[in-house]
Amino acid sequence: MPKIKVHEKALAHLSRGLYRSPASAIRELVSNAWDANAKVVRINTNYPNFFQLSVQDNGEGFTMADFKALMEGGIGNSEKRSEELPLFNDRPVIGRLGIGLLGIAQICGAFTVTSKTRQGEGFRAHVNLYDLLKEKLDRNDPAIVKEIVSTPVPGEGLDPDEEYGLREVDIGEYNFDKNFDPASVRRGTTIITEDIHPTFVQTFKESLNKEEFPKFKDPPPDWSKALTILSRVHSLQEMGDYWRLLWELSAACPIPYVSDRALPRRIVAEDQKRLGGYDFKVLVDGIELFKPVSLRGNPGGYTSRIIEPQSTTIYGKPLTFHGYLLVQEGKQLLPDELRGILVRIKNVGIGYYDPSMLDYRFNEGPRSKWLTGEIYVDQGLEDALNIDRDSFNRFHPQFRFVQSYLHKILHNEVFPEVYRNIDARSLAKKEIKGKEHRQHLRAILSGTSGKPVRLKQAPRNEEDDLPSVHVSEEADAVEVTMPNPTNIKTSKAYRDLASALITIHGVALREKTRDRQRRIFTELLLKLLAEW
Amino acid sequence: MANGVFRYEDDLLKHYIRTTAWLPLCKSRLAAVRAAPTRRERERRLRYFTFCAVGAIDVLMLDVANIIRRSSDGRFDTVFFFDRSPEYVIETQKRIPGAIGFPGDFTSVVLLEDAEENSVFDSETPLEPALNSADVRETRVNQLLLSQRRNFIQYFPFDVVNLDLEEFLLKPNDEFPGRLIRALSKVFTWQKRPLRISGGPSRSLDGFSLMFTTQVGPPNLTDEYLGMLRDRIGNNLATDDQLLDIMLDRTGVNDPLLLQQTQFEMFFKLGMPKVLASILMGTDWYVDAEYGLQIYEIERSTNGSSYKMLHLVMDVKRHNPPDDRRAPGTQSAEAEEAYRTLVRQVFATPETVVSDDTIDRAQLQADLDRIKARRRLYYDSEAEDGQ
Repeated sequence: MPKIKVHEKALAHLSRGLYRSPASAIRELVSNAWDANAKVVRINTNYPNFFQLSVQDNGEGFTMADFKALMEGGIGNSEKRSEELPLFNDRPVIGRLGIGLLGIAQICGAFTVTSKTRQGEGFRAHVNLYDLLKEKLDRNDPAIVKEIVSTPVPGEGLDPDEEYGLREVDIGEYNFDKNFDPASVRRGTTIITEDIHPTFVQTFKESLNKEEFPKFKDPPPDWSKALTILSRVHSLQEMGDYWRLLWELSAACPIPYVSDRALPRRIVAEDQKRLGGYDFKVLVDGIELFKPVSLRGNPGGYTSRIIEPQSTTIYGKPLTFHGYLLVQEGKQLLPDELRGILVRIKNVGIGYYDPSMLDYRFNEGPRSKWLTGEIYVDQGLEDALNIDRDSFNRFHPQFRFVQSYLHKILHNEVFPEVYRNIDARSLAKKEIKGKEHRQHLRAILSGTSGKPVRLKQAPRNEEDDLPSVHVSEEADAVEVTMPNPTNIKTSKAYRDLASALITIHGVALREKTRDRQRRIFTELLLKLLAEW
Repeated sequence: MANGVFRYEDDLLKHYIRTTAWLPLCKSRLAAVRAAPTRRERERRLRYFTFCAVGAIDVLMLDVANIIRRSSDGRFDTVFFFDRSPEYVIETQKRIPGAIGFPGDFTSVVLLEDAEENSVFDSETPLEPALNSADVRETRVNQLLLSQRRNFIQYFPFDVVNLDLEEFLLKPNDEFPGRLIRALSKVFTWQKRPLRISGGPSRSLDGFSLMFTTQVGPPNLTDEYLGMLRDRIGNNLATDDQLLDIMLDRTGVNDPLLLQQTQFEMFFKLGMPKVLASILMGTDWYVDAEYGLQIYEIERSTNGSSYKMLHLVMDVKRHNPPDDRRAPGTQSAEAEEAYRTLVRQVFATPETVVSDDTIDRAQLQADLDRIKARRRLYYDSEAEDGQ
């Protein structure tokens, strides 16, 4: 049976246009560092000029032979490292050392890779990716598109087992630095851009321009202070691309939170312990990154839901996940980018926080802007990943399971609780307001009567068509029993006011003449409304 | 250069020069800044340009001495440096976080042609997508270099310029008068750019401190370079009667050509400082006579042979009145007098030879250790490597 093939040119295209942002591309290199048992990854952007970008780790490094195999065996064809190297501290293996290495090609045409292993073997290679690749692919430029397997012989028909027309596509070339001395570098891998794209430099330089980004501030070395700055902007867009890079990396990388109290009720304490145990740091220009979420001190409080570990098998493949959902009651999360749910596979963020909450089907109005959450997928869901590792195939059965599970919790548990909390807050607010109104009424009545007024509320009864006021004069005080607002037949919003008006009317009626009644009522009315 | 750290970082002879020559000079420069007329100018931080190498010992020495002050969030953002190696720029920035690092060849970047050199420009314009060139490496590299150069220029002026280049000032293969000399001329010209102080006035510096390092030699200089050095000495002798006797006393000869042929090192030491002084004069600066020009010499051995390094340390002043308020081709009287004094000093005063016999090794080592301890606060390479 003839085989269905993917054209190599399609794969070649991937080497240049895989990631939607520099952070996504760098995230792949950070993942490689994690898989190489690195403890520290340092990303240097040459801030504030951005003339080069580098990613450096202190991991196991790889040898010249490994690199050669990777380059010549076909990018993206490498074996999963799990078979070679157990990761320390129970780190799960994230991915493949392969196409991610070319992530940096998104922002430059050439780069240098330097690596040294624990055994002291090392190399430095200059990788030069061909310019104008797309145009060359489109015209089958023989310099890069090479036929390596036979074409059908005319008149002989197709042999179903033959791989006709298989082509190899060269996307660039590399050479090893012959003068490189491994003793001159430390263990680990360093990737440095050689000709970073001018547009990248320009965009990042512009992002520091305070005229274009009035809210821009130099990011402080203490990430928790950076998060405070970010909590005052509506969107990362206001802060420019440099801050966006920091934020996106902090969201995507498998790093800890600023503390185990980063979220209320220590809902991330367990994850913090686990993430801290991996002993993995990511620094950008000397700033140590932590996860970008740190919420506390909201006057309306928080509703939280810990998602205990869930395990299932779908089409014979295991899926396990856990996480949390958190609602900042009554207050929109800032920046906007924190809204929604971020799915992590092996602790690495996939894309951004999804404000659609994985296509949640109910309209929760502004309340959906109060919700943030993270789902840690410990096993499974990798097959649902799109090739950019930034998004999911939303019809993948494992994705559908996670989606459905979350939507049920959101619809049946989280948002109903949020609504109950809203009602409770409204009631409490109303009670406070009612108390304030009564205090105000008592003050103006005391002023008119010349004696202290004791204000009582009639008992709560059936609704009353004609609520009345009872005033009894005592030697040293006046006791006024006002209608209970709940008994008054009018719109809920005006019951307090109606009760107060009926009260001042009742008090005014105690005057002997009509003129006097009118005068006292008007006086009381104006005083009442002046501070209502 | 293991791990990118400057191979002479631990050289105590070099550290003697750092502590004895560079440190006091920078201290006095800071004092000059603190004596500025306005509060904003007085309170500004010292701006320091250096070829500090990965170890950044000079920067950290000034940090320990509170001469370089970091920003409120701990950045060395008034420190600017070049390094030919992209990797060393990264390593340096780990040790002096927040410092502004330029990857690339200093001389090439400075000497790059820019058609808009003298007009109003900004560093981002060259980064705009090219209209008529394809998006290929050559185009991108040119865009980046031009942007980098303009960016670099915008950071001028610096209060201290430490050109600790560890190479020859004069190179036989360079087209006369030499790339480095042409680059220095550019740098000193850019030093005249007004300093922008946020919320305060923009003003050109009255002076700056200059440290310059060069190897003695090379002995195979071309006739043009040798002629330049001879001319410098010859012109000095022609304009000051007493110099001939001074030279005779010091060298035993009274003829520049003979000096060149018989005592090349001495010939270089008498001629080279004037080359530097001339570049300064040509760009409206002069070496301050009060501090003078201090020259230190250290000898290094490598692979069985040895070579000498000269460290020149000086305060530099701006001509008064400056060139835009003087007749073309004239020098200020003060500068001319200072130049005469300088020349006489160069002829009369031998360089300070720094050797193991002249230094207090224990004290210098203790000082170097203090500086390295400070460095570990910013970046502990041993801890990061020791997995």
